[in-house]
Amino acid sequence: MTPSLRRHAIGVVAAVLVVAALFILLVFAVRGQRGLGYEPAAVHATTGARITLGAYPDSMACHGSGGGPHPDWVTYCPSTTIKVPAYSTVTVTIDQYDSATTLHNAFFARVRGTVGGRMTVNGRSMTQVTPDAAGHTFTIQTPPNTNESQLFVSVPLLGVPDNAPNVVTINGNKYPRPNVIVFQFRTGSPGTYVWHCYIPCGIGLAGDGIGGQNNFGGPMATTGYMSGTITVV
Amino acid sequence: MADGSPTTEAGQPKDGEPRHVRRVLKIWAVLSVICVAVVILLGTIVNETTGSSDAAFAKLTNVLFTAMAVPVALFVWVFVGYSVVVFRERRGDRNVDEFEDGPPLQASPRQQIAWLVVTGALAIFLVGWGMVGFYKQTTDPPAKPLVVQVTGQQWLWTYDYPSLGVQSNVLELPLGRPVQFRVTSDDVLHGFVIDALAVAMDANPGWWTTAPTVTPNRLGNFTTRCVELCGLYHTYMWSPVKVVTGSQFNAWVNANRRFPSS
Repeated sequence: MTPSLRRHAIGVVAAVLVVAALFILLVFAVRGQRGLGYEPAAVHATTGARITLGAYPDSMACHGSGGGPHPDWVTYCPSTTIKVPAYSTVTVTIDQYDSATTLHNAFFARVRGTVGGRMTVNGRSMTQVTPDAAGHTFTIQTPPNTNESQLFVSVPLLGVPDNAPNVVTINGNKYPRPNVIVFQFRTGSPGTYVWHCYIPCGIGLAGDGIGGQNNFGGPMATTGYMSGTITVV
Repeated sequence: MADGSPTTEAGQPKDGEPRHVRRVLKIWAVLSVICVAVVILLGTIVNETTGSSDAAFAKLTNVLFTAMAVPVALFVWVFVGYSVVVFRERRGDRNVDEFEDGPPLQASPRQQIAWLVVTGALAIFLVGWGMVGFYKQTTDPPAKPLVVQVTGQQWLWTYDYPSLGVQSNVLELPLGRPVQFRVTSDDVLHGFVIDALAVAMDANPGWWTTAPTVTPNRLGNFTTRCVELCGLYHTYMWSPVKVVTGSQFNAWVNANRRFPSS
């Protein structure tokens, strides 16, 4: 092998090694990512066939002392990372402490995908709310092109009146008496799903200024606040 | 110098010098035949099943245009590759000081005309093909298509059938009935696409965009997807599309009509 050819060979081998190292680094970096976005450490998994959540007008209830990095963001508590058993009927109870925000899409005013297509609000059975009475939604959807069971559940959460007195104290913060929403849905085979609030309850960012269609950013677009994951195990 | 190789004054190739252009054309012809065959085969296998005549036309267009582009691309690549390999400066061929220009290229009217005719014909064919496709999509639309209002929202598609009083997150369509999609967005720009039906349009916030009617002609399950990067769960923004018989569609409508609030 001539010196020139040897130099070429060394160069080719070195280039291949560098590219391979970069590729391996990229793979490990991607695999190291957890979740689909920002998930505060304070949020822990909720597991079981009975899930209890709260929807709050701020982050003081569960994002650590002082409400975490965004104390004024609306949020679900205590968890946005939920695990439920497969092939089961799951009962969800949501304490809704927030007031109403007008829906942009009336589709989400109706209860969908629950057992009997119903929910109870403070013990009263309902199938839908008026679009301007919903505070948030709890909507589960299925990732595309997977073998997971098709799961779609959407429940509007009736907002508390704007002038309701603050009579409940949680973590030293006062909130109005919540609307208690209860519903059931059936799970299928194991898999990972996402859930999300579909009422524009966040802040600017997405769509801001376009025909008044704002408030889709901030907590609306961040896991750990108004969206999360549901793992069926 | 008919084929670009060095020739004598009598027009014959110099001793031992191959006819390069002829060799290049032979390589190009063989590769073109092979690659066009592969494109046609793969295009038939890989593309999604078509569920409407428009989708079948789009699939044919995709395969045909790719097959036509392959020889053109190969024409360039083979000439460049051949030149790089055959005409490279070899170690020991000559000293650096002896580098000299190659023979000057002379304009060949016949070659220029041939190039213009071939590329011009290709371009005119592509324009004509597109106009035929557009004409087929837009001329003589059905009088009363089934209107489906599509709303994109981070990160879900919802479907409103205003004439039927149905809202759904699943797109259910009757076989053989013309459908017109009216698409909008509640927040940011989304892209509404059903590959199997050749439907693709932007969902613009604050605006309704109407697509040409499409008639599903195949029963089956397909999918919609969003093709504009729209945020955290963009990859989750899809929904099932079910093309069903007329009676199945009517049953679905009856089961999903809005009912009075309780």
